[in-house]
Amino acid sequence: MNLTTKLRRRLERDLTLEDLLPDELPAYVHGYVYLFGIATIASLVLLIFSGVWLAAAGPTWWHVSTLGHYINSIHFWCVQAFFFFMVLHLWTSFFQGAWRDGRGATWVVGVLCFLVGIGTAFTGYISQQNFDAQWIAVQGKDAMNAIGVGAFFNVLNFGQMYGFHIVILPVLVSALVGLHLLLVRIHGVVRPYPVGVPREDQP
Amino acid sequence: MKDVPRYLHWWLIQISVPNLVVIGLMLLIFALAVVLPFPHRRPRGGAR
Repeated sequence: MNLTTKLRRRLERDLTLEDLLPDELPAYVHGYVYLFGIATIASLVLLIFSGVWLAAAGPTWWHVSTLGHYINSIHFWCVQAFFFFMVLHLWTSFFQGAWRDGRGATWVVGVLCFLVGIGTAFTGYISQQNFDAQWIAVQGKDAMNAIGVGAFFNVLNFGQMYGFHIVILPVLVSALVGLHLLLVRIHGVVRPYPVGVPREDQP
Repeated sequence: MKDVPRYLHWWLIQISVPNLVVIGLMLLIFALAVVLPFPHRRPRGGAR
């Protein structure tokens, strides 16, 4: 059996259309805490749209025109919403033990989304081309040098930081979020902890 | 840079008021999301 056949059989087994596009969810998913993940994704979608607009028009537009200020603000506040809801989703997942029953990879990919998201936000702050950006870059360079990556990741190099912010890191975040969603679809949402059952008797 | 936020300082902890407000909001929304009942449709036929 060649690699293509193996991959096709694996996908046919683990990725059915019923799993990918379910029309019913378990009863325990009826709760507001289960909306934090989708709120994070909604923020990410809006972030990408506003970011593409900003990248296409450039800093001389977003710093000067009224519409540029508006789209820049949308982009900024979507970052706040993204991290706000991502942390709430993290709390929910933590208290539910969302890594249980073979969901370890889902948890780890979620952690990676969080870490790469922080890097994306950091390079975004540096790419603002204002005094805040200069201040953050000058402060941040010492941290980068201290951990030995300053030669490869130079926060004072606007071109490099902008490239990281608008291409490399967003592509990575989107890929990780896509993989996270795929894993959630494959394994389903974790069951809540059983109430009143001693820990040693829990499945 | 022009609008420097107010900072609170207690022992080892130093935090700006805006950051503290955001953390407070997150705790509040999390608590409400846990406590508030989620609306759901009645099953077809009207019976509960």
